[in-house]
Amino acid sequence: MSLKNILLIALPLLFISCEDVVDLELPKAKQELVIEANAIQYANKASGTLRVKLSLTNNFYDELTIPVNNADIILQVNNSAQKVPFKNDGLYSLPISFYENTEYELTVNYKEQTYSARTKLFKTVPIDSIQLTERSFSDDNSALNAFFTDPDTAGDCYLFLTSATNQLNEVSVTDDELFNGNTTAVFYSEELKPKDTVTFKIQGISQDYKRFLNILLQQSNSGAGGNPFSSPPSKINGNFVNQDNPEKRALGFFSISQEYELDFIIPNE
Amino acid sequence: MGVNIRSENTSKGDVTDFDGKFSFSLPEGNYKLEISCLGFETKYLDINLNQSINLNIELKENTQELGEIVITQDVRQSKLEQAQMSVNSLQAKDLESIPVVLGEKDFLKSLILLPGVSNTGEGAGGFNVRGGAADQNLVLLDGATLYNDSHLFGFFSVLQPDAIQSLTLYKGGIPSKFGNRVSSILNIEQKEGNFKTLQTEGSLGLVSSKILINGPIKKDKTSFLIGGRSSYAHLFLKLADNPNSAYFYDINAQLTHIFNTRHQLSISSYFGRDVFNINNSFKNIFGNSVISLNLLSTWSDAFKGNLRTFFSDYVYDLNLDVIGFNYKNGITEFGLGYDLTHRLNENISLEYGLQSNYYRFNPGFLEASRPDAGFNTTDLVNKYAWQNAIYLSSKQKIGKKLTLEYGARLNTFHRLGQDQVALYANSNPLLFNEDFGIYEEAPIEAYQKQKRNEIVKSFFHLEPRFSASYRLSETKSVKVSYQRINQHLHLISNNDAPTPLDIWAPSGRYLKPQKSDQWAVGYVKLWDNYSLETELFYKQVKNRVDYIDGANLIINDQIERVILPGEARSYGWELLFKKTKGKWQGWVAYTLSKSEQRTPGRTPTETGVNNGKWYNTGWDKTHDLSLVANYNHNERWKFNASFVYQTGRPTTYPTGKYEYLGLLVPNYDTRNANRLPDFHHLDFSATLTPKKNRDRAFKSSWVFSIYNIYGRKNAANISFRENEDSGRNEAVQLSIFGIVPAIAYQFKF
Repeated sequence: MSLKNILLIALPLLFISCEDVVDLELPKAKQELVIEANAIQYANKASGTLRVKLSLTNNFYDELTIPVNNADIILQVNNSAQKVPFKNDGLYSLPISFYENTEYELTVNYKEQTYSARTKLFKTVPIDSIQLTERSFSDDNSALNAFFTDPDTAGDCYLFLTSATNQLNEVSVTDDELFNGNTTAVFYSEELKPKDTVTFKIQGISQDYKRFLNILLQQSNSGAGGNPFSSPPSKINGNFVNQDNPEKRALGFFSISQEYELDFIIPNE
Repeated sequence: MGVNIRSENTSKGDVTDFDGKFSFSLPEGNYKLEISCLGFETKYLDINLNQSINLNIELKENTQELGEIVITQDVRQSKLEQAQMSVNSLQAKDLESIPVVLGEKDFLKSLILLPGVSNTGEGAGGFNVRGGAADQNLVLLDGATLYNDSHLFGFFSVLQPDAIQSLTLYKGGIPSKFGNRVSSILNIEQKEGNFKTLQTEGSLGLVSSKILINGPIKKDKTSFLIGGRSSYAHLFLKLADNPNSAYFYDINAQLTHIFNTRHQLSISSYFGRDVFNINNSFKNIFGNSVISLNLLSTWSDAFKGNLRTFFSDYVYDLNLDVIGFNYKNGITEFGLGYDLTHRLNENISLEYGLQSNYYRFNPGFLEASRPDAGFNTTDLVNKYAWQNAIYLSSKQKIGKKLTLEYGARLNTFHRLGQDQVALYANSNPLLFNEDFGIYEEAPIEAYQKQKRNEIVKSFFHLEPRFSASYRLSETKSVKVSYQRINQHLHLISNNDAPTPLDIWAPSGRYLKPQKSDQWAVGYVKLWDNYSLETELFYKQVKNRVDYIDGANLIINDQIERVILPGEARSYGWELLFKKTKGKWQGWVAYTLSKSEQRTPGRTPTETGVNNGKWYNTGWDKTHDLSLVANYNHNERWKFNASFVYQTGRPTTYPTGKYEYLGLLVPNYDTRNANRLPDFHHLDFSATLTPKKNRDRAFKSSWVFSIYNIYGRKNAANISFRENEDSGRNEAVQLSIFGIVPAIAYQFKF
């Protein structure tokens, strides 16, 4: 949890400011390849699905994402190579088995460029419990803490996905630097009604993926883009390497994560 | 009786002896003396100097005796003859005549109406001088460093304006007496209490109210001044049962004691805090505490000294109970110095002295605020430094036309031992991953334990300073200057405007001092009622810190693993045209400038920041125009107006977008290649002083003001997001202030 982000949550409450949607002319996008490649191990299942989504960057105001349907994707693990078959709309998927401490290599061939990325399975811990809390920024909100216990080893990183009835999903990442080895909580606060379901998901991720997502979340939230209190935005480099032309990178990341989830139903008052 | 004699345009001062005598030399010519006394009407005196004269100044009965004399040397003389250039000063009365947002006088907001000074926009703290960053300004309050200059993230300056006597901003040609910041020195003098009578003044405003009391403790011997200010909007929130609050308060205090004709002691202090509380789940307190002590000694007519010592502390304290932690960081500085002015003869005078500063940096402390929060207590290693400087500066007149001011400052900065220092392979804390094209933190190989009293790293710098003025005629002169300054303190901030939680880091093993050179040429022309000053400058700064993408700057014990050294440069043309007499007064200030920086990779394969290319700083404003006009209609009504136009601040617009994890991700390219829309607003204020005031001790006035009359929505930033309802991608502009009318009531007795 970045302290600066917390402060930014608080700032707008103080401003006597106003927001307007403006008509701003933006440059036409160069088409760059975006690779979103993830496999999730639910709890301790032996197998799961590798999903690869390929798209091209598009003009900012265009509704559509431009899917890439004509790429060749190969997954290599334990010296065996398998093609990741195309499904639809830029989506490719392949059933895979999960092995610990094993390198998975993904290669994407598109327009005579070869992009490859390597990763391992990153384990995590289950959510111990979810509890309502009185502490919140606003009394109108329901606030929840989802507790989990970080292992003693330093350097664990987490991705949290929180979804609730009629609410947008929330994504956040953190490392264990400030709570290594302790039981700590993910905080969630929204205007919720009795019987609404809140789902907490916790994933294990690499330091590199945490860094990547940290920047991505900052820039995808409205914080970036000229806010005097935000870091200057930039292109976000992931873990894909262009074997033919190192300068011409693909956006996106290849990751394999273990995931646990736990639901909570808001009780009647 | 310790009367101050000031020359307005140079801010140089003198102190009279106990008999009220004063003397000083001026070249031949016509002068206008302004004799004013705190709380009394001002008196003007025209004199013609063609030989040594004795002046016997008597003030009328109603002004009682002299409390203070301000002599405004005729602009004609000082501006033309002084080698000192690139200086702007504002007096208490100037602050009064500038309309500002919410009707509150404000020194920072007034400062940015001068040429070469700007900030990043409404509601942002700090200021930028000649394209420099906000952390490159040294703000001194009666000689003590003030680390945070803004309340409420930039809505208000930290100092109560009524307690300020004068502000002097050195933008270039900085005298060797000053150092430690590469862009500017802002010297703020607090008012001295009245030695004769007790006075009270205050004001009630929409946002804050303030009161200032000053007077003698012992007549003619000891005087005091104490002022307090607080915002009170939060009280209304409390009434409305709203658990949130945001307020600030500050206290100024000053004590002056005259021992005898030779020695005078003054103690000056400031204490200010901002307090935020959101539903008791987010509690935040931060601010400065400063105290300084000056012992002025007149050893002889030609030899004067000032023993100066100060203590300055800035603390940022956050309690975030929602997440469950308490956090704190801060900086403490202690300074001691002796400054001497020494007039050798009519043509040469010297200033020399020594200064010593000790710093303690607390980069952060974090602990769990409740047992179930799960945070480990994290106490970042405190850092210590010791700085020493000796300086010498000489003012020399050569013939009738040439004046030189030259000198040097020898600076040493010593990092003292700390409990723990991280060591890296090849002493390189930051690695470059060529495959991914990203910078990565190097693993720590070992920790070294150091002794507190041991010097672990030292820097020695000789800083030459030079300026010259040549009089072309009775009304014109040209000036040149050069300065070198080193800065050993770095504000670790990846934002365009400073925030209260930014952390200062000292130069040391992994962080080199910033080094700047600045050249300037200027031209001054005077008319009877007008003055024109124009300057060209070029400034370069080496070792300007830049940050790798995704750098975490808070609770980071190894800042060296996220920074890269870069360089910055700025150049520009400034113009200040003033009307100084008559019913109409005011000025036009215009700056045409460029401010940019770059951070190349350390090796050819590294990308650096922004691919190593030059990029505009976040405060680069090509055009910066300010118009200030004051009209004294009659004794009852005074009108003030100001207009500001600035090129929009650089920003980075997305060059495209993509979707990731179901989120809209704007894709960015070159840093700060775009600009926000142009920034401008027109403000107006009127001061009504009712007639009945004239014959009574209690004086009051009303100030009516309108900020941003035509309701310009100036962009503080433009962000890019997906609309929650329609799902469309949109650009959203945030504006801080619309049209802001305000009213304030001022009183004095």
